[in-house]
Amino acid sequence: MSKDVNIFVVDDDSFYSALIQERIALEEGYSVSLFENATDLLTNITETTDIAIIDYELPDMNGLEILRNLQERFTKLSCIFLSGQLNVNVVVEAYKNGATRYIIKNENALVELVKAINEIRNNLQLKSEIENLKDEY
Amino acid sequence: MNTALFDLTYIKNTFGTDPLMINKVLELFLNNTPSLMGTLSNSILNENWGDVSAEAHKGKSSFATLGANSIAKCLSRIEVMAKEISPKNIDLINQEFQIVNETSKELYKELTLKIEKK
Repeated sequence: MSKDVNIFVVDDDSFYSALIQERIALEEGYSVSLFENATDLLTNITETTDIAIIDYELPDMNGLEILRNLQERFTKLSCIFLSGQLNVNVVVEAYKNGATRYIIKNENALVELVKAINEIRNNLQLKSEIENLKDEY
Repeated sequence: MNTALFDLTYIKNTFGTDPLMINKVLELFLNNTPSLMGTLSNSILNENWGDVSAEAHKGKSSFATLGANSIAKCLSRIEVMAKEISPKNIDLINQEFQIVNETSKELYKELTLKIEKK
């Protein structure tokens, strides 16, 4: 059995964070850690984290600053924006800085989020299988 | 006119229709959102407009998630007005918050009753 996909979520809206956690818990194979601010996320995140889910408006830093920091430190980390921020410039900057997905907090947001993390998990599994095959030959 | 204070379509589409799951989500809302509204009330009282805008932004998505759209729209207007503060906007923010305050209390009561019925 493969290990759980390790997800870190940063959102200062405790209700929305809890919803994200509950929705992901309906899927199998994920472990979720919640953070209310950027500092806590950036302090606790490690190489073992597979996915970061990032809100844009946070008390100590914005989502783009977090994304740049994470991309510099963790090349294998997948970053998903989950935000109410509709500004096109922010969306473009997020993708330019390596975001895997930008999901707007609307009525489909959590369904879209689950699809996105399942896709990332499938890609991770595929990469892992390729690495294993390389080791065998 | 008696308009529904909330609509669980989004929650059901996202989490399914299991009553236990729905109740869990409603409990999460009731455990988190009233304190946020308390914080927003204090920020308005203290005229911390940056905080008012940020807290209204947060509250907006929480209420919208429960389909409490009338409250979410008031909070959206508060969020915008707090970013462009003026004497007129201060009056309007206070008026909008009074509506939020009264309507959200009704909403909390209805949600609590709904949870207890199950």
